[in-house]
Amino acid sequence: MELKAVGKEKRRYEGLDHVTGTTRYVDDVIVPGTHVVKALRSPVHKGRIIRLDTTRAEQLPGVAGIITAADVPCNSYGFLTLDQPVMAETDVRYKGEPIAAVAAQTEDAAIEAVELIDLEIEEQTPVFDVLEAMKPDAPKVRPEGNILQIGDKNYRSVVFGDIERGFDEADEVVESDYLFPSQEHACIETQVSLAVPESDGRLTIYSVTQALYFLLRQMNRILGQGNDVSERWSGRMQYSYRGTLGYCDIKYVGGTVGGGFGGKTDLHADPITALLALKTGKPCKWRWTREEETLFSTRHSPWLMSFKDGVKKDGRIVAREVRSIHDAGAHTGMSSYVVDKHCFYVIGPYHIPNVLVKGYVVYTNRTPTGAIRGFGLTPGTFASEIQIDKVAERIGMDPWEIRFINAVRNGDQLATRRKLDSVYLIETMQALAEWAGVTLPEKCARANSDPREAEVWPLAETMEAPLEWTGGTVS
Amino acid sequence: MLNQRFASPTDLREACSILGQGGGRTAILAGGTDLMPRFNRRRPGGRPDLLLYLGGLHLDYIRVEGHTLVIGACATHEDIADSSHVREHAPLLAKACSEIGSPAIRNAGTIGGNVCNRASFADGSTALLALDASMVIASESGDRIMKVEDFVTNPFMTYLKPGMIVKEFHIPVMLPEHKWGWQKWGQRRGSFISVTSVAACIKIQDGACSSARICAGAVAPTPFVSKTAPAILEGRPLSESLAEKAGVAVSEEADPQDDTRASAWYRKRIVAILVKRTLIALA
Amino acid sequence: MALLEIKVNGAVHRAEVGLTTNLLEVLREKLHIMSPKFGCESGDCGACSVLVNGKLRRSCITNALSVQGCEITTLEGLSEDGDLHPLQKQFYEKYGFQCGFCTPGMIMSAKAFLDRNPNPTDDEVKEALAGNLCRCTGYVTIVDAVLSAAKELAGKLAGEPEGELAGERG
Repeated sequence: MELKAVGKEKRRYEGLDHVTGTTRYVDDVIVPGTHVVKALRSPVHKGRIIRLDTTRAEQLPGVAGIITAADVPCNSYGFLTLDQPVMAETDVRYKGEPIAAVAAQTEDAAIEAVELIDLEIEEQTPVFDVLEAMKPDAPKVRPEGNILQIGDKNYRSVVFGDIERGFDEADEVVESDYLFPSQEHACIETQVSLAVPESDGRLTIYSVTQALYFLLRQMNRILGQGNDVSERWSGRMQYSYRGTLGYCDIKYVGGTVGGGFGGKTDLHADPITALLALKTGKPCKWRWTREEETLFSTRHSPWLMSFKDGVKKDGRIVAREVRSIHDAGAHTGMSSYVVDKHCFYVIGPYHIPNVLVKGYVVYTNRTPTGAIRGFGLTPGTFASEIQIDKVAERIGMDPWEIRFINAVRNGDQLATRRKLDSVYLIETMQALAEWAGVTLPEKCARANSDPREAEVWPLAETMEAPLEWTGGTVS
Repeated sequence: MLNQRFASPTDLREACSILGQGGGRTAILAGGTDLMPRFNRRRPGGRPDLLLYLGGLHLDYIRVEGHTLVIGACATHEDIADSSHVREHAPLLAKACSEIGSPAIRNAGTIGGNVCNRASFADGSTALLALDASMVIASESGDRIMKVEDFVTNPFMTYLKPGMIVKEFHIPVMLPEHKWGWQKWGQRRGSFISVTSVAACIKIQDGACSSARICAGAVAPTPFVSKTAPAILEGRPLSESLAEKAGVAVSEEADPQDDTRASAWYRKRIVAILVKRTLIALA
Repeated sequence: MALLEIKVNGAVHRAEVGLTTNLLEVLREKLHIMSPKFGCESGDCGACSVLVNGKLRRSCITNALSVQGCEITTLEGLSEDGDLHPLQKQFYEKYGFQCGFCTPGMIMSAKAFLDRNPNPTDDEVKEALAGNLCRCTGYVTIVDAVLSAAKELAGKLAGEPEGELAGERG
C-alpha cells in the first residue's frame, strides 16, 4: 500500500497564507463598526476601591459604553478555583488589574474616556516575596489566606516510604536551594479579542486562545451560564429573542495564534470585549499594547525549590525531600493544577525508596501566573538535575554513573504509586553518551532497563528489591 | 485639532523661525526612532501642536571640506556606515553607526537625533567624542559652533534653546597615525542597546601614544571622555599592561547606574575590560 | 488632520492622518493592508517591517506624514505576476515559520537585504535579520530559507530553470 502522508515530507497547509501575508489573525479580522476597547487598570499593587464614577467618561462623544464589575453576570471565575474577578469589585490585588473598560468609536476617544473615569483607591501594603507571604503576619493577598488549601493541608504532598529512616541510612546528606525565575512568553502577537454580537442573539468571539474549550467553559460561567441576564444588555442586543447566553450561544473562533507558549491558555481580553459587545450591541475589539502584555498578561511562575538528598557511598539515593513554593500571583488560575504536576515529577526519573515532597501555592500581589512550555516540569527538572550532579560531586562519583545507578527500570514504582512498564531511560542515556562522544564506565555500558528481579543488578553492591508501596500518601 | 500643524520647511532659517515662534507643544522629527515610540504610547497630553519635520531640509549630506569631514545632522546611521568619505576619514564613526540598532533602524535614525536625544548609551555621541568632533547649531540669527563634548557631557545644560536646530557635525579627518577602536557590548550580538561601549582614537607616532581620546558610553549619566587614561599612555608605547591600567582608570571615572539591562556593578567591570580590548586591538 | 497620499504596492492611496499617526496604523486600519503586524509599536520586534522607497523601515515608528508621496512595498506587493517571490517560496519550502506572525516582517527584511547582498554568508544573514524577532522557530529554518532564496534568485538571473514547488496540499 502506497502511503500518502506517513514518511513523506509535507508542507504546512497554512504555509502559503503565512508567506503571502493573508493569514487572518484576530487583529486582521475586519468587522464594520468595530469599536476600540481600552481598560482602566489599577495603578497600585494592592488597594481598596473607595470611589468609581464613570459618568464623565460616558458623556464623552464617541463612547458607546463602559463596564465595571457591576456589569459582570458572574464576577468570579477560574480554571479550577473560582476566585478571579473579570474586573475588581472592591479589592485590588495586583497592579494592572482591570477595574473598568470602555468601548469607543476611536482609539483616541477610548483613551480619553479612561482618563475621565473617576477612581479613588486606598492603597494598602502589598507583599511580593513568597517567603514573606507565607509568614503568619504577612499582608493578606486574599481574604482566605496567602497559601492555597489543598484538602486538609496547605500543600500538596507526595509521601513514599519513611523519609527519616532514609536519611538515617544515608552516608551523606546534600542540601541545596534552587530558584527558577519568572518568565514572560513575549509572543510577537499580543492578547487580542474581537467580540461581535450576532443578529440571532449569539456572540461570536474571535480569540487568540490556545485552549478554546478551557476558555469557553469559563466564559460561559462569566456570561451567566444560560441564566437570564438580558437586563444588563443594551443596544440592539436587548431586542434579541435570546435573553440568555448558554454554551451554544457563544461562538468561539480560535485556532490562528501569533505565538502562545502557554500565555494564551488563560482568559485575558475575551471577557471584557464580550461584555462590552453585549452592553453596546457593537463589535468590540481589544488589542493589548506590548506594555500591557509584558506587565499584565500571565507570566510563568517563579519556583523556589529546596532539595535534601540522602545518598549512600555506592551512589544510591535513599532519601529525597523536596519543598517547592510556587508563586501564583494574585489569583489561583492554573496554580492548583500545576502544583500537582510539579510534585508528581519533581524528584526526577529516579528510583528513590523514601520520598517526601511538599508543594505550596502561595499568593502574592504580583501579576497572576499561568502556563508556559513544560508547565511545572521544567523548573523541577532544572533543579533535580543540578542536584544530582551535586550529589555525585559530594561522593566523588561520575555524574553519568550516579544517574545509571538511580535510574528507574521496568517494574519500579514511582513515589506516585505508578508502576512502570515501558521505560528505557538507561538505554536512552547510553545512546546519548555515544552521540556526545562520552565513554561510559563499563558497568553503565552493560546495564539495561530489565526489572531488577530479573537479573543481577550490576551497578550497586546490594540488590534493591523493586519498590512497593510501604506506606505513605499522595494527598 | 485646529491648532495642529505639520511643518516641513525646505529652508533652515525658516525652520528655526517656525520653532522660535513657539506657542503650544513642539516636537522636532528627524528619523523618529526615539520620538515615534514615545508618541505611540499615546499618553494623554502627549501630542504636539506643532510637528516640525526636518526631512525637507536635506541635512543628510556627507562631504569633505579641507581637513574636515562635514556630516549633516540628518544623515542616517546607514548613510554614515556606507559612506566612502566616512570610512576613509572617520572609520570609527562608520563602525559605530553600523552597529546601532538593526538595518531598519539605521535607515531612519540620524546622527543628530542620536546626539540630541541625550541617552547615556548613545553610540553616535560616544564615537563623536573620541573623534573630538564639533557641531553647528543653527538659529534664526545665525550659526554657532561648539564641541560635541561640551554639548553631550553636561547633563544639566540645555544648549538647544527654542528656535535652534542642530545643522551638522565637523570631524577632523583622521590621519594615518590616528589609530582607532570601537567596542559595543550588550545582551545580544545584533540589534541591542549598549550596556557598555568604548570608543578610542589615539595618535601613535614613532611607537609613542599621544592625544589619546578614550570615551565610554552607558557607564555614566552621559557618554564621557576619560580625563585620566590619556596621561597613562602619553608618550609611551602601547602595551598590554598599559592598556589594562588605562581600563582601570576609565572604570574608576565611570559612574554607572543599575537599569533593566545591567547593573552598575557589572558595567564598572566590563568597561575596564572593553577599554583594554579596544586599546590592544587598535586599528 | 492632514491628507496623506502614498503609493502602496503600486496603487495610490489617500488617507486622513494626524500629526503623530504612524505608517502601520495607516496601512492596516485605513487601507486594510494587513500583512505588517502590531508587535510592539516601538520599533523593536520587526513585525511591521516594510519598504519605503526601497529601503527597509519600521512602519510602526515611521511618521505617516513624513512619507508623503513615497512608495511603500509590503509583503502583498512582493509577488510578481501572481507568482511567489523566491523568498516566499523558500520560506514555504524550508518551513521558515511556525505561527507565521513574524513572517511578513521577516520576509521584507530579507528582501531588502538580498537586494543589497545577493550572495550572503550564514553570519551576514543572521546580522541582517537581527532586528526581526521570532519567538517560535529558533531562526535556523529562517536563515536556511533566506540562503536558499538567494541561491534561487542567483539561478534565475543566470537563466536557469526554476525547480518545481515541492509538496502538496492535503
